[in-house]
Amino acid sequence: MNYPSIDFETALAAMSNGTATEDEVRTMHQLLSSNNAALDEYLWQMELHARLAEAAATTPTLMLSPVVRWRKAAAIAAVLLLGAIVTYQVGRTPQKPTVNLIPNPALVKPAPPTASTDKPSPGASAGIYRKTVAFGTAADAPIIIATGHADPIELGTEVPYEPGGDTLHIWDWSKSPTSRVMKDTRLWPLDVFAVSPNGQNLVWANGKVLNLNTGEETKIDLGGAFYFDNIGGDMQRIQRLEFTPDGGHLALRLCNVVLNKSTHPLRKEDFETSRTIQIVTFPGAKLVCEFPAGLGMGFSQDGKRAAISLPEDKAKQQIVEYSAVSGEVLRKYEPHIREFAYAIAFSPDGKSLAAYDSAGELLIWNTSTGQLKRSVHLPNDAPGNLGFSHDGKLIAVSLIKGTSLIDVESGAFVAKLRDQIFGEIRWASDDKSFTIIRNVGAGTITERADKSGNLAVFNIFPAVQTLKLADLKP
Amino acid sequence: MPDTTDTTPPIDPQHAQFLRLFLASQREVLRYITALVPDLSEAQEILQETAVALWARFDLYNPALPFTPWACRFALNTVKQWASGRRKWRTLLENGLAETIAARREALLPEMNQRMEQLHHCLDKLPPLQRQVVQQYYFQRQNIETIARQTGRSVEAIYKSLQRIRALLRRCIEGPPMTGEAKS
Repeated sequence: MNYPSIDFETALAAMSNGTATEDEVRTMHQLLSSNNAALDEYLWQMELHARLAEAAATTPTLMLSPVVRWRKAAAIAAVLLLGAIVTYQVGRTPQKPTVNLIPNPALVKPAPPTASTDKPSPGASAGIYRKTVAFGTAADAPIIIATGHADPIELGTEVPYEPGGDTLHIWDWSKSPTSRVMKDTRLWPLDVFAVSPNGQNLVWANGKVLNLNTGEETKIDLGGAFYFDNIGGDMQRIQRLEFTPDGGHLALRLCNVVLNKSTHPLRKEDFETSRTIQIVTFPGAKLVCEFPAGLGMGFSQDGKRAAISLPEDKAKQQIVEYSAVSGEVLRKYEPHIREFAYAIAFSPDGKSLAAYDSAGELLIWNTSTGQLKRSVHLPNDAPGNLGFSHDGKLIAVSLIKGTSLIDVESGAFVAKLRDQIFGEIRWASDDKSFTIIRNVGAGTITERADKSGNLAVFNIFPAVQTLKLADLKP
Repeated sequence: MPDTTDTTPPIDPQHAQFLRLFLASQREVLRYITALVPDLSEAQEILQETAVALWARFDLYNPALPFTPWACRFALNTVKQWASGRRKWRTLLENGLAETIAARREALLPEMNQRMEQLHHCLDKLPPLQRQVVQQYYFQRQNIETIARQTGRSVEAIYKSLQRIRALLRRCIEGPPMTGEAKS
């Protein structure tokens, strides 16, 4: 392909119209790589193409009706105010954990009128989705908690998407798939909370502690939220909360307010934020130490060491090990990873450290020497979950694209599971099986016809799937 | 008497901030994506994926820095991830082409912004038939086959018409700046 030429114009139009063939795309890309004038022309045309789509929506003769505009605006607002990322799936395959998508109606093609738009279900036809459930798990006990309504809920079932579910539900998935409802305990979908590793305590960022066995409530002082008088009320200071594996400490991921003297003649201060991890005792809530917050974080089993990926917002991260007792840097691991480490885990004996690089690699280091022991090629994906077996010989890596079981010593794949499996990993005490808890982190919603045939939205509650090693094939 | 009890929890200020920032920048982010993946349907799909990634990482956003460049970095990564799973688009990942396109667009952007201010006036100058095609294709998002069927023209004619419209508009926006009202 030359530039200028009819072929160039034709390929440009085909790419704009979504009808370009693989050959046209490849040829155009080769030209753009080698011809600056062609690249400029291409960019001008694409800019015009994009702006025409915008202009169509804002030119008076092409404007939407006021009702449609209002619905779009309301939908955008609701979608963007959602409390967490949801996984949106259409169809009747609710357990398939693949498509991460905010269904922003302002960005999708207007749907043709259907019967369902005459009788909209809550949020469905308008495309309004916000977080109406929240989930949590215990690291060492078969406990899952969630928000819900008054009636017990089965794990893995679809519950109508509707606001007002504010009641605490608890499952012991080793005994029953049906939740126990603590009808007098409120758990809001936007609450920040953590379940203790033994599944006995639920702690909120506001300091409330609930004994899940007895229902007894106590209070600890975690510092509370920031309060901004007259300008919007509370701001969450604790953005994430988790227990250390030993259950004796809490790790608070903080958004700290930093006020700097401004250079502007009228503005006294400039407002910034910084992220740190505070380690506090549980239940004493005494500060132990503080260190920078990373993207991913993993603790040693004794809770005395933490490995995090830094810097938190840039690729080519480095795994840095901190003392969770003093806050000192214990080791910086090389090599840097290529992209982001969402998942980091220590082996149970603390001698190995694993990190999943979203570029598609599992790296395992010797924590005594800092030497890289093994790197294993995996699908590129994010986020991910890691789980060492109790004997430290195997590691399970659960990604949206599938779960892999890897021999730590050799780096060989023991099994690759590609179907409908993604979630937190829990190994059985005998290491003969492991369980994947799905839909906990992000939550999942599905859209389908309800009993009366109208399109409706449902939250899909977590499900557990236990895999026996004896049944797995490489 | 309607039940006016509000059972929803207070809105997290972080969500409100994300809303403000994303709404303000989403058009520019979509344009950025369209430069890399021109098909609007696919670009919108990528924008949604980008929004998911931005929200998931919003706690890492430094409010002292402009939001749009930060969002565009995420968009670039999302485009690359999207392209890596599609054989047709893999060449976008070769020899840093995606980064090259993004960098060149950034260099051209001030002039583009200035020129594109003429676009509304230029649209007004289009003959009615071509305006109708713009409306059906860009706003109503009808595909070319549908437009052809509705207007009684061939698919090829609509395809060529869109090409001509873009060329006309390109010439128009590169003309001398207009001073206000469109001349009829």
